[in-house]
Amino acid sequence: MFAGHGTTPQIDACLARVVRRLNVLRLQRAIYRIASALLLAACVGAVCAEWLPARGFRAVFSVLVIAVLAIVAASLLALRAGWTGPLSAAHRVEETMALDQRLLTLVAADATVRRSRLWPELVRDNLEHLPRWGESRLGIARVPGNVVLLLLSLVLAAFMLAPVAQAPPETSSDQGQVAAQADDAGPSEAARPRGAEPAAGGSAVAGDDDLGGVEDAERDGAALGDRLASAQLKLDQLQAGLASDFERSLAGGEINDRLGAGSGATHAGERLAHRPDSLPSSDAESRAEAGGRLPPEGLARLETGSDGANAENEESEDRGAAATGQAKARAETGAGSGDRAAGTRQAGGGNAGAQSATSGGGRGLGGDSASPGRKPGSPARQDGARGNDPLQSKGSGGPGGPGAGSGPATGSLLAAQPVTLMGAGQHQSARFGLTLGAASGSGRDPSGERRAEVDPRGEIAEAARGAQGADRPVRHEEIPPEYESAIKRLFAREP
Amino acid sequence: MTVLSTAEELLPNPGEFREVFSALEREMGKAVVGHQQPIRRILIAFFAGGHVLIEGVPGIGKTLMVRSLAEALDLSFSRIQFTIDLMPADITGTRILEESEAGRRAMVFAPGPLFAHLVLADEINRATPKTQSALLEAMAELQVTVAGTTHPLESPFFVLATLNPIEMEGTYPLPEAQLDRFLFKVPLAYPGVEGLREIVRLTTGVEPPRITPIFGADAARRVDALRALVREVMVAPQIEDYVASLVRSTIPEVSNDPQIKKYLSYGASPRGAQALILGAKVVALLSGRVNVSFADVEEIAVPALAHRLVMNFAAETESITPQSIVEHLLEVGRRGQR
Repeated sequence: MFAGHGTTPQIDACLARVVRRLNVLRLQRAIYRIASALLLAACVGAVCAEWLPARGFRAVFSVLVIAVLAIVAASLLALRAGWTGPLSAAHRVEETMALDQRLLTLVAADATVRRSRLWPELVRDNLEHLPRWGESRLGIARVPGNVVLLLLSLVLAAFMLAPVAQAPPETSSDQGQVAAQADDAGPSEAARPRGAEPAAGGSAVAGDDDLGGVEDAERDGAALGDRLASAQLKLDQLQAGLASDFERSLAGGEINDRLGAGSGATHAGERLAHRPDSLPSSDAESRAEAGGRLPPEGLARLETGSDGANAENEESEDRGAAATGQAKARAETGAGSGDRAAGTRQAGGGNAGAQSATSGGGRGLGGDSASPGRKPGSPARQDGARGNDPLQSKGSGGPGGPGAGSGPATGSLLAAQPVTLMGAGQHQSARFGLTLGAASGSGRDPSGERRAEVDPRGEIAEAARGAQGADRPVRHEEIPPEYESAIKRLFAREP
Repeated sequence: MTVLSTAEELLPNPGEFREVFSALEREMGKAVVGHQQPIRRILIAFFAGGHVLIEGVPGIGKTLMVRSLAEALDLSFSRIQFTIDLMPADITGTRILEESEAGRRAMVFAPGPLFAHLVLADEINRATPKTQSALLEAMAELQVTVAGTTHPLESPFFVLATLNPIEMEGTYPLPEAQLDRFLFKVPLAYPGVEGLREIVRLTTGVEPPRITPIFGADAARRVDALRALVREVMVAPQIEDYVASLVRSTIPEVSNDPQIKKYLSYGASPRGAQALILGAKVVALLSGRVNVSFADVEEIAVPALAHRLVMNFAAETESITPQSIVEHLLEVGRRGQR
């Protein structure tokens, strides 16, 4: 309602339309601004949740909440202050159509003005000019300009938030992928004798993943029944073999002897990247015995692919060394003096073997050894001579590196567990805990004597043995308190 | 009041107003050559009910302009040549002793030259301030008080004063109060070559130009009716705000404009705002509208405000004119005050 309201229904209707357009535009602008702020804040929050520690995230989150609330409040206040009435709409029409304040005078006229004898003349004059602006949009945009900001925010949010929202739990994803890989591998590969290839530490993990994947596939339909049955059989065999291998690996010095003798002056990186088919059969067998067995090549390769994301995220620094380690391993098999460079490559070699599709060795225990190797002061980084250590070599993820449950999939699981251990003033990752629980336990302990001091390993093995039989429960369980005490004791002895 | 009532009964429409205005311009243009814009502004002030101060060198047609207007309107006209010895009573009139036929003597009021519809105060700055001030009451209130008796002036009353910008010796610049009474100040410039040729042709021929009155016997009522029509023109509050802010911005004490603070001693009075609105109303009618627009205000801003601004010494030394100050304020107003 305005002063001149009711005099001319046509003008009133047109003016009301302009008012509605302007207010809708302002409302849209406010909504888009608020939505953009929320989306951007969510994106920033997601990034901070990914990269910042909890304390930092809380601080950033608080700031984001305050900022968003401020933007919302400011937008609402601006919306209220700029809410268009008939007078403002008339002003807008005047600015756009150059009506020489005819409409403005009509709309803003008070009772005194309306008593003028020229008032009918003013009304008639406005009606004459009504066709000029009555149907025009007067330059009022249908969509405010800040829709671009909203679209950019949506795109950004789609890139940053959608994967987080849609991603299933990491283990199930891995299981599904591995199950599919098991299907692709076919019964021939699944039926391959286990001892025929050097075993990889990740084989146990892969087997477990395959199990879960097969179970999922069984639910999918009867068409895959035969293949699933064969895969199941293969996985059972893998589990049984893994259990025995694991038990043997926990036995202690035998594995060290075998690996030490088998590699001679081993270059750690060489072992990491050795393809099974490039090794002598005896060596391959010994590694298979020591570290378990490799899954069929197809399985191992695919398992590598499934865990690639984890490996890339968690051990990016190892990736660079992977190719180097692999190439060097091919060229220098049996050689190597354990220099510093070799030790460094050894640290990354675990993943090299895991990431390399050609290695076929799957994810070895060495992939986990890389974690301690990365740690400042860790033997793998600081002492290249330790690259000669057989155990470390094995633990560095050679092609047949044992270490059930030490693959990157396990690592990701463990990363989600609050099992970060603080030993001897150093930050130890959960991955190391499982490495300890596996065969190596010691990518950092080259001497047999010192390994003999690692008493908790027996406890770990004892506790893990039963769980390793089923593997899956172990990987999904939190580390029992007795493990933590054992690991803490172990790290307490670290120099 | 009676006149106004009559005028309301005869209220013309805006079309008639434009016709009368055009006819006046045409008739005056017969005698006054090359001054179309001054004529237009004088007529605007006339229909707005104000008075005009014309500034121009001698011989440029000031007196002719007023005389032409009077002839075109067929209204009473008087001319007062202001000199240094002119007394107020010479303008307003005085009481004289008059003897009747019966032999009785009585003091009666003898009206001065102010008692006319159109008054030409020629070279008003040559009279003393005392005499100049004798015009104040007449121009503002349309009345003259002599010996305690108030004598109303007949409507329409229109004073057109002239100023000679040269020969300043022995002159008395108009006081601010007197200047403020004038609605417009209209400068008259030298005519151009074409204008001079036309002047020569018209004034040296056999037959001088003849001005035809556009009204009949009731010219005064018709003029009052047209003036009443002007007052009916509507003004939006936004334009009133614009005018108020424009006038307010000329006051150095309150203005935020550095130029105003630097060059002005005093700004425009509320009469300036009245002049803006009244003049804009006439312009609106001439534009075929019954409402005032921002453009109407801007058109008459310079003649309505310039003579009300009192420049300081800094402005004189830097040759800053009041016209440039008003134009500057209009430019500022266009940018921010709409």
